[in-house]
This record gives sequence, C-alpha cells and structure tokens, in this order.
Amino acid sequence: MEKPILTKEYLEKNFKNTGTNLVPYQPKEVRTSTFSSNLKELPNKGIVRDKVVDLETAIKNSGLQNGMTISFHHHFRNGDKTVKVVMEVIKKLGIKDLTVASSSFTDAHNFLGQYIKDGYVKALQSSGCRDELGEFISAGNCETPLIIRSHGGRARAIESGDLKIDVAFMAASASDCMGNANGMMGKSRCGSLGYAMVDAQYAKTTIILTDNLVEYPNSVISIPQNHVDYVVEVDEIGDSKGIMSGAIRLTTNPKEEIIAENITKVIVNSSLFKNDFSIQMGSGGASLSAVKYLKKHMIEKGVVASYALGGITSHQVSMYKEGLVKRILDTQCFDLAAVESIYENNDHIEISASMYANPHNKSPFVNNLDFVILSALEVDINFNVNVMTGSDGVIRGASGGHSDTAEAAKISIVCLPLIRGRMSCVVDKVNTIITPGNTVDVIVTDFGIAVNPLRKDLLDEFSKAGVKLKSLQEMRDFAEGIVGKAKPIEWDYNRPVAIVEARDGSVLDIIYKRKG
Amino acid sequence: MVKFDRVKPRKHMLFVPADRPSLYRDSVFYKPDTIMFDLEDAVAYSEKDAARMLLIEILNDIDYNASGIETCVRINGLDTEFFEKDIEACIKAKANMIRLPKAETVDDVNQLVALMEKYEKENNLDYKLKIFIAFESALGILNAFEVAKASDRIVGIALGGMDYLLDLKGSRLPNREELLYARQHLVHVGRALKLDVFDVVYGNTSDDQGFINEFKFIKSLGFDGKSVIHPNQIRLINEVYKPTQEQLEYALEMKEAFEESVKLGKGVFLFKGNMVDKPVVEKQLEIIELAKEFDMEGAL
Repeated sequence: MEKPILTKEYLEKNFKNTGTNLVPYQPKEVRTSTFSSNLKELPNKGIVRDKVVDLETAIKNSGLQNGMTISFHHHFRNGDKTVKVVMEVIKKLGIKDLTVASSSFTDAHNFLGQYIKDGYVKALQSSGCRDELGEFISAGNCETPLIIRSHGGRARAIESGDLKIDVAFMAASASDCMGNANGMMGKSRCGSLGYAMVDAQYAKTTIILTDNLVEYPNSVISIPQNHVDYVVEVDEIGDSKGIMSGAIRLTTNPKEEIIAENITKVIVNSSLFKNDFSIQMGSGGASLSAVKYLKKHMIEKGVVASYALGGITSHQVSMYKEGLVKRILDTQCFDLAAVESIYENNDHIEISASMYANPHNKSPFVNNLDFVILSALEVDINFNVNVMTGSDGVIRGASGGHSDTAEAAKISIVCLPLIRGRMSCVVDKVNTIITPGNTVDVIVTDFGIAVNPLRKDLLDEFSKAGVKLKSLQEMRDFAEGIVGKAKPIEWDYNRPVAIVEARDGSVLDIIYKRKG
Repeated sequence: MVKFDRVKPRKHMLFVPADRPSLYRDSVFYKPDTIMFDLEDAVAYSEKDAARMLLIEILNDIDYNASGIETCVRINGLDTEFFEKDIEACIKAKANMIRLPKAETVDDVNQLVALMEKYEKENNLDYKLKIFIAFESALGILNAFEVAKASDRIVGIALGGMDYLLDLKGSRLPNREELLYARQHLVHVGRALKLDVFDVVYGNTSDDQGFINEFKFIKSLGFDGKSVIHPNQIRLINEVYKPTQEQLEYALEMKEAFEESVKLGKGVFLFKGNMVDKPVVEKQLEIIELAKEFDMEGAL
C-alpha cells in the first residue's frame, strides 16, 4: 500500500477525533487563522484575592473536568519534576480523558504511557516526543494521534484558538504570592520561560507551581500576576542539571568538526556576513562546533552580530561576553551558563515562543534572522528534513523551532553527517517531513555542501566565492556506495499515530505505526 | 587492477585499527592522504584473524582510491607468527601499500618482498604493492640508508617513537629532544633516496596547539608529514600546509613571469628585482598545486 496523499478529504475522513480543524499543507499558500482569546470570563473583577493554595485545591478550583486540555512547559527537559506531581493529583481526583499539550515531552515524561493506558490521558500534543513515550506512541498505543507542532506553530495554535488550554500548569523557580513568576531565581532555575509565557497568557486557568515563594512583588517578572489564577508551593519543580541533557553538547567528534568547517564556509562566504548580522545556532554538536570557527572569522574581519536567537547555550553567552554578539534573545536556556546570563545581563533578553516564531503575529524575531543552523536526522534529495522519526520509524525527536526558522531565516543551513550507523542520511524520501524542502536553503554534511536549486542567488554567490558545491544526489550515491541502500520501512497506513503540522497549522505529514 | 596515481603529496597517514568496521567507513570522510589500517599494535592477539578478514572484505568493497585516498596496511613484525598471513591479507585486500614495522636490516625487506611477490603471483595481482618502512630501534636508524634502498617498492620511511625510545633507554623530553638525532638522520636518508619521510604520532589528541608546534618543527627539519592517530590532526596538518593567499598570489605571478621568459627563450629571468631560475619556479609551482588541493581561489 502506498503512503496516502494528504488531501482535505483524506484528513476529514480519517481524523475526526483530534479536536482541531485539519488542512493539508500547501507550499505556496499560507493558512490564515483568526485570533481569538479563550478568556471569555474575567475571573477576578479586580478584587485582590489570595492565590496561594495547595495543588488539589487549585485543580478543583480550576474546574478541570474529564476531556479537558492541560498544558506544561518543558524548560527543565530531563530534569522536569512538575508534570508527574500534577498528574498524580489529577489521578487522585479521578479526572480522565485529558489532552496533555506540553511544549515538549522528554525522557522525564515516559510515565505518561501508563496514564494513557489507564484512561487519565487520551491525547498528547507537543513539539517533541522521545524515549519510551515515543516508542509507546509509535506502537499505536494512543487512540488519538499525537499532534506535533513547531514552537512557533504551537504559539500560533494557542493564540488562534486551535489549541484551547483549559488549565496551564507552569513551573517557576521563583514566584510571589500573586503569581509574578520567573525561571531565573531560586534553587531550581531553568532560565527563560519562553514557552510558558504563551500558555499562561491564553489558558483559561493558569496555575504556577514553585519551590521558591518570594516576597511580593517579585523583582523579575516573566509571567505576570494578571495572567495567573493560583500559586502552588511544592517541594521541587525540577532539577536544573537536567536542562543540559539530550542534544546539547560540545564535542571534538572529527565528523562534526568537518561539518562545522563547512557550515562556517557557507556563512562567511555569504554577503549577509557583515556587521549586525543575526543568527540562530542549533544545539547539535556540529552547529556548536561551528561557533569556534565563526568566532575566528568574526574577529579577523571585525564583524559583530546584532543578536543571537533561540535556544541559548554557553557558546552564545561567550560570544556576547567577548563583544561578538550585541544581544541574546532567549526562548529556552540549554545550559546553566545561559541560565546565569539571562539573570545577570540586561542584553540577554527573555522572549516568548510567540515573539520568537509565531507565524501569524505581527512579526516574530525569526523573520529578521539572517542565518539559522539546524540539525537533522535525515534529509531527502528534495531538501525535505526529518528531525522526528529515527531510521526505524520510531518517534524520537522534536520539531522545535526547525520549520519556523527554516522558513523565516534568509539562509537556513541544515547540517548532518552523511552516514549515521549503517545508513545514508541523504535519502530518496525522508520518513517524516518536519521541515519542507522549499524552506531549506543549504544542506551541509561531512562530505560537502549542497544548495537548494530554488536559491539561485546563493548558487551564484557561492560559485563566485569559489565554494565547492555538491548535489544531494551525489551525496546520496556516495553514501550508498559505502553502506548500501536501506530497506524502506513498512508502515501500516491504516493506523496513524501522529499528525505533523506545518508552522501555519496545515498538515504537513502523518506518522504511521510500523508494520510488524 | 588497482591503478592509483598520487596527485597530491603525502602529508598525513591516518592510523585506523583494522578490527573496527565503523572506522573503515568513517575514515573516508576525513580525507587523509593515506589511511593506514593497523593489523599490528591496535589489534589484540585474539582478533588478528578477524581483522584480516574484515580488511579483505571492506577494502574490496569501499573504493578509497576513488576519493583520492591511498590505502596502506601496517602488518605485524617479522618476529611474529602473523607476518606472512598479514602479507597475504594485504594482497587479497588489494591495498596500495604495506607498512613494515621495526625494520632493522636489508634482509627484513628482502623477506617482505619475497612474500609479497609470492602472494601477488598467487592472486594474479597485476600491480606491485608499495612499501613504507618504519624504523623503531637504534639498529634500524643506523641501518636506515641501506634498508631504505633495498627495494624499488619503497616509497617512504617513518620513525616509530615509542619503541625507539624504549630501545634507546631514553626518557621522553618536553619537546621530544631525545628524538632529534633519529629525526635528522631519517630526513637525510629520505632526501638522499628521494623518499617521503614521516614523523612519529602525537599522542595528546586534545592538545591542538602542541600538535601544531611539533608539526611546524618537524616540517622545518625536512619531514614530509606525520602519522596521525586522530582525524582532527589531519585538519591541523592541513592548516600548516595550506598556503596563504599572499603566497599563492606570489606563486601565480612568478608562474606567469616564468611562462613569459620561456616564450622569450630565457633560462633565468628577473622577478621583482631578483634573478630567478627553474628550481625556484618549481617550488612556487608546488605551492600552486597545494593551493588547488585546498580549493583556493585563483589556483583552480
């Protein structure tokens, strides 16, 4: 059976229970959505009230009922301890059939599989899903398909009403009694609360969980009290060390060094590499290694960047401290150096996911980006990128800001090794499209650089600069010459397990259960 | 037939343990001038057979030469039970070259060549494998000139640092001063016989600056290149070898002036106020060739 084509009729027939209006992706069209606020009733009418309550009371007062949607943010990544605490109380209260719409799921959320089995959770919506939970979803264990959205797409969905959050549970490392909260102070810091800011603003009820109740009014306000209904004190919201897990690492892996050099070649040979350029660097090893080469060129040519955007690591912070980047715009801190910096430096600015990349607001920061460096699991010869399903077809990644920045940045650079394990990473067709090929400008591997034929301007620019280019077909053929052609995965097209939305909310791809 | 014509000078020879399949696959991306698959120290006794089989299988499968990479195999020494089987494996793998460790006498080379001829014939090989000789003892260093000219298959010689030091009963000094005599001696042997000369490995793979300093030093002594144990060291060698844009421009100008002088039938010519003859021009032509290898603008 061939993979079904995503038509409106197919989506309407097969996805009646997702609770959202599904429209197929069209590369040349932008799906419009109407701004709407979910705040239909003003809860307070200006009366000062005591917001500090225990978790059970907060949940009861929120009116949470069977079938509603709750949300979380994932800034603690693997160190998250909030989702579990909340879900345990929900279980105790016997509230079932919930949709959990977290900004992402990490290894810390594997336990949700059991909650799905037990009927407390009926659906998940998120940017990412990994580890045991990814395997659980991929195996078709959740009746309702997981909805995968980019960070900007999620903010769009919340603001437009496509994703209606009934109760948002937001972990904050410092909050006062009225809910003025941040992630920068206290023992359990995670830095920016970029994702949480959107949930807190648009959810019908927002509950702050904190392990650090500070004197009113809080001195740093990321989430303001006018967006908060209740404040709950708990023992521990998360482990700060957990934010550094996963993809964020710096390595001297020789393949990644070659990729980093190739990334730098692309950037420094572009006419956009000049004073006040802007950049987002990914969290993968190669893009982090590119920082050291890029710094060298910036110093040599006396070029300073206007801003670094996105998930922030110590590498961008060091560039800022060395005067190579004027400002840092931060939706998510990826290590403790970034957490320190966002608290200490005025030019390290916390921004919401909507300010970062919502395609339907009045102008997100991604639209001003010159360069973005992104990682990938696989790419195909049409420049489509998969960052979600592994070579075995199992969900083990995150859309994140991938498609947001690829579409918006003037030059989007996707980097990956040509061969991983025993497989070519450049293939005929990716298993799952997370970022469509028409938005990807350059693919960089350890074997060379390929420019999207749609970018004739870049082809001219690089050819004049003497940058040697290869085609993706050449890359694929070379890799397959070494490791052979992988046997395609057999999918059960009658059992969809996840829906991938493009950032504008149209349906870009469907992930199915594997056969066998 | 394995027909591999070198188009670039040997600058780095990457050690790859011959029992590691993933490294066979990955090493092609690092673009070393030569990959040296190691059957000797990197492979445990119990794994020698398996490593040989892997070597034959993969070298017949991956065409390194198509990527401009020369293949070499470091075999086990004459004094081991593995010597002959290793040579047979090199022939069956259709490698370009064999690296003989711990060479000391002309007889060592003769034994190696005799077995190479035997297995080349048995396997109907229609080309002759080349030889790279490693000297790793005081006797080897002292005999190097005679040993290195013992066969016309020999294209290069190398110093093996660790065993040499043990044999000398010396100690490792901060700047490897204990190797100075051997280094200078081998450079003289190499230059006298027109062979490539390679230096010892640099063990601290996290010390880039230390590696670069040592490489610049041995290059000044006259070495062609260095055996490397980590792919990142290839990049460091290239950084030292890569001509500057100014050097390239100077070389291109001299080439143009030389071509003009040839047209005029002159043997020597005036270039930027200096009289220049053919050997000086040849040095500049080498720079242009190197610049081509590094895709430098203007050289291509």
